[in-house]
Amino acid sequence: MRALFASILLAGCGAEAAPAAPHEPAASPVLEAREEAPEPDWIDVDAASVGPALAAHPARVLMVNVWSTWCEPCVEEMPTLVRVARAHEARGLGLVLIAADAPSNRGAARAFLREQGAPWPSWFKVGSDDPFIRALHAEWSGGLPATLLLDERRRVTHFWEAPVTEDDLRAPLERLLGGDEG
Amino acid sequence: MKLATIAFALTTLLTAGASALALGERAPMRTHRMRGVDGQMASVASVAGRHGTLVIFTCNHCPWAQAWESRITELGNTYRDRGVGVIAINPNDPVQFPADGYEQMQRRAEAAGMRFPYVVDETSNVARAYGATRTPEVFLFDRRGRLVYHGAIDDNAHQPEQIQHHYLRDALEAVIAGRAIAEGETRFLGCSIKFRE
Repeated sequence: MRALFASILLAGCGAEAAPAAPHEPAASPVLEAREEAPEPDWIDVDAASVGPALAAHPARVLMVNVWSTWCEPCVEEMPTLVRVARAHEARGLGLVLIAADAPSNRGAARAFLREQGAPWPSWFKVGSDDPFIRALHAEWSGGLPATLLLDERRRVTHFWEAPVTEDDLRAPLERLLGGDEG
Repeated sequence: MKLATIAFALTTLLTAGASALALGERAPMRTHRMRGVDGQMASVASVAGRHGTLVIFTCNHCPWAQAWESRITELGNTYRDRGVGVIAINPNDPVQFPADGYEQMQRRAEAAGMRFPYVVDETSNVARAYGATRTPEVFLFDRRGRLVYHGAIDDNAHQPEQIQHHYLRDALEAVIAGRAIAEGETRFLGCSIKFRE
């Protein structure tokens, strides 16, 4: 499962593949800089790939959030999501953030996630809305933000088409994560 | 572990159902009068056209509403002239989003060139009655007053040059022709409606 997830990550990094090793001695600062591994790019997901990508995620339980930099409630709830995810990471919770921005806004979205200390690489929704929304959850009309909790079998156990609070998440996460240290 | 054995199944364990108006249902609160940007009162019933009626829940501040605005205006103006009644309704709370205030609506409608009513849902109860959740969300009723299309304007808010499905335009053409609509319900990403308390 982890190997598959790694392959999906790599597939999302194609646009910024590492350059071939230079023949010259790696002595100059310029060459040293070139040899640094580039930061991974977004992981693009559409209706067909979002399901397999979630299934392959290594975390035991997932908190999935669809957001946009243009969605004020999404921006406001992001610190909560990041904080909750960090607090429960050791117990097997993974945070998957799916940006639903316009393609021209990838830079701003990436900068925002960096500010928030959110996991990177992060996911970016591409393709038509309708099949993507239906693929993610039958009850979701498409309003943002949307948050889902997925259990080990990747079944949706909880869904909010509204901002969530730590209070909203506390009991569901306790049930899903249980006493299992994962 | 093979992917087949962990085949992704977002099987919901939830039982909550969506409450949006269902296809075939009539428009709720048809005669409820709302103030338009021109100062005149209008209702869904008052704008009804001979071929049908298009109700659009939209607003000013939402980037998706803004992205679709020129298409909303073009479709509204065009099909109003072809016998489909058109009304745009702003259900958002301007206390939460001042950009959705009445004067801002007036400026936006004028700048866009809307030739159909753009009205205020002063309690958000019209949006609640429809089960609308986002802006911009459209409901199209046929000449008998039955809902025949609900959802998105098209399938690409931000890149109009890449639209593959003109859902609303196709539905409007079908309504005028008296034909069945291929896709009666579509989903789209948009801004959650900022309901008034």
